[in-house]
Formats: sequence, C-alpha cells, structure tokens
Amino acid sequence: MKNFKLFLYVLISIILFTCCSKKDTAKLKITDFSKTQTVVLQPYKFFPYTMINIKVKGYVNDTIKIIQGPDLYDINLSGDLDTIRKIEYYGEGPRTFIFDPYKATQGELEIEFQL
Amino acid sequence: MPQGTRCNRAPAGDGGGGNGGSLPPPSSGDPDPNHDSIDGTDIMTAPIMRLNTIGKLQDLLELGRFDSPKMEWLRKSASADQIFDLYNFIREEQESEEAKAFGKEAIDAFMNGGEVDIKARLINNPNLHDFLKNRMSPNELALFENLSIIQKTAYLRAAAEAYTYAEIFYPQPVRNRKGDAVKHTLWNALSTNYIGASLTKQLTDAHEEIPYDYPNHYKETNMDLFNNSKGRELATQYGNFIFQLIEEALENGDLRYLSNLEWSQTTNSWLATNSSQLISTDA
Repeated sequence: MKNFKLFLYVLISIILFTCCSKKDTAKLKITDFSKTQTVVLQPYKFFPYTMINIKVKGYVNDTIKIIQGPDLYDINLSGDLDTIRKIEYYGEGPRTFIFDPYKATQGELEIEFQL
Repeated sequence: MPQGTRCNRAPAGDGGGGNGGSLPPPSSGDPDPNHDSIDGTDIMTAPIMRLNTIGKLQDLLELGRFDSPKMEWLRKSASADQIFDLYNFIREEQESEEAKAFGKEAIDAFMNGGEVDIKARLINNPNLHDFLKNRMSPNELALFENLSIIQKTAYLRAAAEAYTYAEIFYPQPVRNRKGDAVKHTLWNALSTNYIGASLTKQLTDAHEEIPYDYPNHYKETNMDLFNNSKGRELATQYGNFIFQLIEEALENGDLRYLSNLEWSQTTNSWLATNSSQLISTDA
C-alpha cells in the first residue's frame, strides 16, 4: 500500500511537472474545502535557493494539511493563520505540494509557495 | 575583495601570429591600430580580436542569437578584460561544463553590475541578494536587520559567492554531500573575511533554526554547523587564499559530510538515514 501511494505521488508529480510551465512560485486561493489541490514548483538553474517559503494567511474551522511527500513531515495548521513556514531546500529539483483540507470544511485561505 | 576581472590579456592561442601563445592587445599608441600584419605575419587587430572572441564565447556558452541579452552585453558593454579573461578561463579549464556554467553565470553577474573573481572562482551577482534575504530563517533575518548596509551587502555577497561556487563545481544535488560541505565552509570563511567571525557565527547558526522536516534532519544541521565552524576557523587563521584552503581542507578530510544517505523522490536529493554519520571528506 505504501509503495502504491509512493508510485501514485511520483506519477502525479511527473504528469504535473511535464504539463506545467517552469515556475518557482505558486499561489493558491482556497474557499472550497471539499478537494485537494496540487502545485508543482520548478527551480531555475544556479539560483541561490536555501529555503522554501510557504506563506499561509486566512482562517479555517479545523485542521488542514500541506503534504510535502512521503519522505517529509506534513505541515498541519488550523484556526486564524498568518504564518510563514521555512523548509530547507537547495534547488535540487522540482517540488510538489498537496493542499489537503483534511478536517476543515470551511474557511478562506491564501497559500503562497516560493522555492 | 575581488573587484571585477583583473588581467588585461588577449585570448590564449587565438590571436594568430603563429606562436600559439597569448597576445597583448595592440597598444593605443599604435600608429595604425587596424593594421593586420607585422613582418608579413597576420595578426588580429583589437576590434577583430574582440569580435572573434565574442563569437567563440557565443558558441561555447550557447548564448543564442546575436541579439540575445547576453550577446548584446558582450558586444556593447563588456570590457576587453572581461571578454578575454572569461574566454581564457574556459580554455584553460579544457572547456569543461563547469567552466562554461561559470562563464554564463559570470556574464549574468556582470550584466547586473556584479563582480567576478575568476582566479578565486567567485561570482557576486547583486541581483540575487533580495532573493537570499527573502529565504533567511526568522532569527537570521532579525539579526540581519540590525546590520549596517555594508555588513548586509557583504553577508549576502558571501552567501551568493559560496552558493554559486558549490553548485557549479560540485556534482548536483550537493545537499549532504561534499559540495554541501564546501558550500558551508566557503560561505562562513568569506563572511568571516567580510564581516568578522562573531557576526558570521550568530547569523549562520540562526540560519539553521528552522523546524525539522524529517526524523534525521538534525544530522544535516550537525554537518552544516561543523563545516560552518571550519570555514570561520580557516578565515580567522589564514585570511586569504580561501578558495585554495577549502579545497585543500576537503582533500585532507578536514570537512565533514554524511554517510549512508538515501535518495528521496520527494526532495530530489539525498537525505540522512538512521545509519548516517558525519564522516571526513577524505573518506
């Protein structure tokens, strides 16, 4: 099951990566908490990447998750939010993030991802 | 501090004349700067030599059309020193991919008013400074905001130079490997030279203060802190010739990197495992 999840994650990453243009930032505006949303970020060559910034602003009525992938911890957030999470990153390659409403059903969020 | 390129020499072995060596550019006192022969031997005059070298850089670095931004800069704004020194560097490095990547990044830096020390392989592209600032940890940023403008620029310069050097000259991805060791050592050594060891330690320690992403992340932090410390030590002891000293330290095993890494599809890099340990760089 774990292998299947990993396979699915890699497959989604590849499909999204190949279909989307090169970008190292993305913004999500979330008002619909019934579905997940995925972003794929692509670094530019030799840019001095040191951290990924994930800026989250807004409110949610329960816990949401930002899923980084099978090897890394999920980011769990809830309530009134105005925060920046920093993640170590050195331009190694594309990165995929999945917004998962998890337990939240209502709210309004803006999430900005910056490699 | 390095200030742009230094030498004033023509491309090695490409000036014609049949001697295969470097030619000095024709002096401004030359009665006929556009002459094309001395004693019956053809040589290139300065404008032709310049154009010829730009053409070679265009091919080597795949700079695109004649009117691409980099080509425009080479044709219209670059000094003879910048053109010839870049070309000579790439030739001396046997036209390696690393040398070509360095050449491209150097042109980018020059275009943005930055500085390039070819001998030390350092590129300072001021265009990247805001980008770096935006990616500091919260505590690092708080300390940074209290620095003087000169200190701020110098700290960012050290980061940009170290990053570009490691990414160009070491196998990618560098994370947790020897290139990462060099990056952190060079970053702290350069920063120590620019703003002192004490401030450098405070800032670079604070840089590591972010939440861990996975169970063995702390091992990465230990590696970074060790190599940061080595960089400050080298700069404090010796001051100059940082690039050579760090390469020497790497070969002598004075720096540290992580063993038993595991490839991560999530991060596209090698991550620490339960059995990862800090090992010396001669291992």
